[in-house]
Amino acid sequence: MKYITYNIKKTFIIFVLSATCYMLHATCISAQQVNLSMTPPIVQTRIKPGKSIIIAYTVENSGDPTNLQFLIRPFTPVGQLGSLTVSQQLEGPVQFNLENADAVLEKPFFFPSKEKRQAVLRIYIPPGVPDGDYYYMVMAETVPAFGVAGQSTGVASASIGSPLLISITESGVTEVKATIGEFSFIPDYTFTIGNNIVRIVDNAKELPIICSVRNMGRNLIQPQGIITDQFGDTKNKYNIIPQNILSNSQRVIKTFSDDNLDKAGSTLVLSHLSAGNHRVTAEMTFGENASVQYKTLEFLALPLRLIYISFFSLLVVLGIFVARYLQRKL
Amino acid sequence: MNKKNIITAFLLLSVHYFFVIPTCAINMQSGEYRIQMGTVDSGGGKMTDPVDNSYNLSSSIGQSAAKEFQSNGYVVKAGFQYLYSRIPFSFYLSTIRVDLGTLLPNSPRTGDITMKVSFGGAGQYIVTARADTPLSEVQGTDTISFTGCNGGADTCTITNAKLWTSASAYGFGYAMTGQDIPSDFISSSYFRPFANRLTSENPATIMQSTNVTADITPTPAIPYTPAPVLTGVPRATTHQAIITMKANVSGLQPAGTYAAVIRFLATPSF
Repeated sequence: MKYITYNIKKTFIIFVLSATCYMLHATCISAQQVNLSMTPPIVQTRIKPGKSIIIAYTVENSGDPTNLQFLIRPFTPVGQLGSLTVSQQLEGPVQFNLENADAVLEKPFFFPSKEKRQAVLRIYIPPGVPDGDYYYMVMAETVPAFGVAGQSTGVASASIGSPLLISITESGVTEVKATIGEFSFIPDYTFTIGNNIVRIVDNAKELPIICSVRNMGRNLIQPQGIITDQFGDTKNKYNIIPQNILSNSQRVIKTFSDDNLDKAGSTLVLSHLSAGNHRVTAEMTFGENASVQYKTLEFLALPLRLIYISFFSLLVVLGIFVARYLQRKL
Repeated sequence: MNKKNIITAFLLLSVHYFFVIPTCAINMQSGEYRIQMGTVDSGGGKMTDPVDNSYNLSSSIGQSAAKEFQSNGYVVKAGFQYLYSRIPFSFYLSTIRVDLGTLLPNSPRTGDITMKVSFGGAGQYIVTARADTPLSEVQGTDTISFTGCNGGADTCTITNAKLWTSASAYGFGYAMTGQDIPSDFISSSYFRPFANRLTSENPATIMQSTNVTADITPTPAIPYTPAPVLTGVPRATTHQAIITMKANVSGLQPAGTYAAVIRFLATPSF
């Protein structure tokens, strides 16, 4: 009997020790994560028909192991804020091929965690392709993994993309045909004196300025220039960011200014305006040897809140005087 | 003999060093102008200050690129030319599977995915979402259609979120909370149906930032680099949002296991 008890005790201790060891070596299990990164984030090329080039994209998997595939799809710009829509099918005259020995376009491969993979992409422009721009998105897409066991599930597939902007040109010359599409702001008050339109803004408020560029050519452009806010002899200059304006599209441009960082849809936000007349000028060029284009806005910045308060106070004082006068009369 | 050789070599080297002309990289920047472009094929011709013609510059950058184009038949630029960044564009999903559990009539079930976009090297980005199909029975043909939210005045579309609080409003949809989400997601009770690939609907934008990730505060401490000078030091910016998927079924919904593939695409803008 004593021997049996000893055996049970021994077994129990071994069990507890084994369980402890197991627990200590247990690893955390979490939901399968996706964390992909891709470089370069954008590629722009100018290429002759009949030529081919090779571009290497690097994709890194910082998440869990997954099945991945490389896809290429055309895209078109949408709206004026840099949005885009990617087509469902690969189409267009440009030919793509992966030069990797171990990967083919649109064929999934196993992508372990903490690894990098290069997609060596050959781009070939067949002879005779008309001059113009062709825009594609190079994508790395995870293959959805079903593992449903009696649960209704939303299965996510993550893709990361890199825009590929191809300008096909026989001569090397690209078409620059663009204009300043919109240069505007919303004033607080507008009225006309003679032939002049007077726009008034409250100098205590921020004033978003919208400047968009319309590209009517068949090639993308990168506007360069400045926006100047002139008040008396003081000039505040804001450099325009040379972003791509794709062919046959319009885009609101941005400036290198901290003030507009949180104002989507505006080019520049003027703040802390001095009271008086302001002249805001946009001056930009759209390509080599292209002429400089100008557009100007003028407005009167006034301390409207101060004026309102003063006016209201004056009314109150006047009211008091009138009331007292009437009381005396009665 | 050896001594003579050493002395000769020493003398030659000394003469060589005396005639060496010091070289250094020229910065393309002054108090009057700054070349913003970091491209190899832009520029060329005469550049002037468009404001007051305080400077002009004849650039041969374009010419060399033109030569490059003529000789090779191509010119390639990689990365955003106005951002000097080695931070890759990356996209994170906290999970690839949202378990909605066992769906019971008039008992909405939800599940979340956290999304993060790091766009230090991109400046602008867009995340879109589209479903391949509605929630469909894995071994059958029945489906749970996309939600119309509460209906009536609160009927949502793929680009306009509306209130979905009624337990008798059925379907499958999603809500967004967090950074850079569309403004129609007023609260976590506002939902949209997914865009449907089957009916060729365009993917819906669910996160977007149009802000360029450049700290452009002018500072004299901008380190001089040989060329070209790039304005702005990008921030390692990560933005985060949560997508909440929701399903609600009626008592008439056939029993079964339902699933749908939702495709998220994160891209830098152009």
